[in-house]
Amino acid sequence: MNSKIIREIYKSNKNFSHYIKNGGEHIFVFNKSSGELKLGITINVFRCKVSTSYWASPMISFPFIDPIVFKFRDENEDSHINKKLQGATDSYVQEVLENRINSLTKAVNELVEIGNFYHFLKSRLNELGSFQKANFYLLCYFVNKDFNIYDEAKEILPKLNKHNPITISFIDFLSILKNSEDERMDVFIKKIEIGNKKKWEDLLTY
Amino acid sequence: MLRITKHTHKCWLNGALPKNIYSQLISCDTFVVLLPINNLDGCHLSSLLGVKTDWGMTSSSRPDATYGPIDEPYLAFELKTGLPIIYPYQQTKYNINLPTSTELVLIVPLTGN
Repeated sequence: MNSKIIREIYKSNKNFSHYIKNGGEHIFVFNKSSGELKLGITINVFRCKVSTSYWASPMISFPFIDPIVFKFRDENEDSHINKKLQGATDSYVQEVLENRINSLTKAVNELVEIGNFYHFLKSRLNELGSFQKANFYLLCYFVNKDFNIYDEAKEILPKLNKHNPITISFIDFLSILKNSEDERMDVFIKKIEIGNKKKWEDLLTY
Repeated sequence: MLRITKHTHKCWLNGALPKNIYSQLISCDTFVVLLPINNLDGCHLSSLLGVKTDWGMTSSSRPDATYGPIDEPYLAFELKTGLPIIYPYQQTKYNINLPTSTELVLIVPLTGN
């Protein structure tokens, strides 16, 4: 597929404020993203198919190379789209993708408030990967200020790859939770927030 | 012989070459592991420090195929057409990059009878 089509779609859609191309991945940043939560959609273009998803990255999330923390994809919808796109003309491809983006934008629009996003994640906790769960518990503390999540949060530690920097930060987080250290937690969260904001500033001004 | 007979998850194959060769060979029982090819999808899956990442990300590992949830597959397959071994540097990279719960399976062609 011609990547130009995706740039055209971005230009003609007023719901997005930034466009980032990362290899075969096209990232659109939703213009209602706040200082607390970046949102958007991604289109991945492979040789014979595309995949679409919507994403969210709270500033309160463990730092990692990939700026996108939570990504949600509907495989069935993608497979339906890919059937439609086989042998299609550029204008039809654009039409199909625009419709898909509109439907993803509606989903993203529901998540603008960090509180709504937290409840959305909570309702899908079983579908999240281990690292996403680690980020969920961090957000859970940020929203509820409750140290009692320690017992629940520690359960996922064995599932985290020990070489990942998120795991190291998560161990610190667990230790602060366990000891209910208010001040240390404030410093910990502030540091994470500043780091993520800086990363996003750099990404969006690049 | 490990046989995956009941499968509720997709098998993800990386790259065109393994897909062409292996789907044929697997379907005619030539390999030690039977992949559930009826529920197969092509996908560029790479893993870095336990997290699914973009294809070509520096230092990431890219198994030839995986089975299970795409973010944290149950099995990752290294499909061999040449020497039936996995090199130590490759093994180390897989150990670092695959999710903790993913088991690496080396698949080699059956030889002789």
